[in-house]
Amino acid sequence: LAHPVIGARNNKETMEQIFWIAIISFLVGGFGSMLGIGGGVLLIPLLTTVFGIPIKTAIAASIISVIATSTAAGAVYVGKGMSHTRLAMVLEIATTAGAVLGGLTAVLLSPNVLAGIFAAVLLYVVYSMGRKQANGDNPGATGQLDTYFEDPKTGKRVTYGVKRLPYGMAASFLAGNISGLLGIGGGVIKVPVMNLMMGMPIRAAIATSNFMIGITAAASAVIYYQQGLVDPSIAVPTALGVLGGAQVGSRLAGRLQSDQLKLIFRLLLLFFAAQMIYRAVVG
Amino acid sequence: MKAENKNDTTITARDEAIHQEQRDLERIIYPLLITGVLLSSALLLLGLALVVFTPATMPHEMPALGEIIPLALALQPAGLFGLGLLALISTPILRVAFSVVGFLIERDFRFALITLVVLVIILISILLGEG
Repeated sequence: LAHPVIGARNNKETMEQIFWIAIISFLVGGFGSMLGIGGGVLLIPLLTTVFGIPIKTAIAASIISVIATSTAAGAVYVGKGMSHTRLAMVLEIATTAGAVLGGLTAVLLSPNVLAGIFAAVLLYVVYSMGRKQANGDNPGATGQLDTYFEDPKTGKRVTYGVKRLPYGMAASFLAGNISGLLGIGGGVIKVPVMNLMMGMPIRAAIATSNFMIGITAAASAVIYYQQGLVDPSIAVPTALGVLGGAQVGSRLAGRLQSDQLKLIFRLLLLFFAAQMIYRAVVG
Repeated sequence: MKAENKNDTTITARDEAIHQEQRDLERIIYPLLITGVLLSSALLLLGLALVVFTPATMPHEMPALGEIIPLALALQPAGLFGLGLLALISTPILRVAFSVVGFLIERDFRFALITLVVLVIILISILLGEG
């Protein structure tokens, strides 16, 4: 499977590759949605190592699947009133600006540098997934962008406001930048900051971040599209696979041991981080 | 946006009203999201089916924006993929545009402006992406 079909015609190899990309994307989408993580961090290393796809083509395919999952999940969240639209729009100014800069930079950077940055982000995600969550019960109003939602498990009203907005803006800019640069959603950067620093309950942080991710990804996707980096033979099976997997995964979520799942996920990411470092150094 | 930290669990009547208006807006946005995802998936699947079951070949590049509609009408896979991705990318952008209108209807001009800035940045990226 080493450097197959980029530019090849409609042969058996292309069709086989499309099939396997769809299968792997389906698994990534399912796996990711069970953990509440977009698949990008896992998808891009898989596309580059298993299929030998150039990193920029993999990033472009991933950013499109990020829009797909964010929109599909958004439809689920939107009815529950858990996403904080006003806050999302304030933060989104920083995120989209970061994404546009990231997208424009990614086109210019060498694949080695991109692999190096990707490795650093993977290591951060491995660390970040081990952190505790806060503000589970009822953090209370702060006088800044106060809102509430009904907890779907207990039916109780959870009221919260926002603290330390400037930190949120900074984290959002960074998240948007990384998203545009590497084709991942960036929730791994935003959600912990929203939860631990801005005082948002974890559910609200995830819903709000998911809402923002689709907009951010759309801003950088148009750049990748127009730069000719979107290869339909890769992006189409990726988007459809991840979307299908996420539908199944979100229904299975909660039935499986999420601690073990998390551990497997972190080990996989660690492995891919090592591989990305190798790629950054050796090329 | 005041930075003071009252940290009680009460919420003002104004914030309560904002929350209700937000929920109303979300009821309009829900069909938009569903339509975007379903339409996009259907177009991508149709393009893929043409590649698998007809002599049409799998393209390795997306068509330029101006070529998408003619190619899609001719039932070329590249056109269907282009239209499918366009539907997908447009969905969150349309959601932002709807939010601007929503905030204007609520007469919340500050947030209408904030949301408009987001929309403008996305439009700038569309223009910059061509370069």
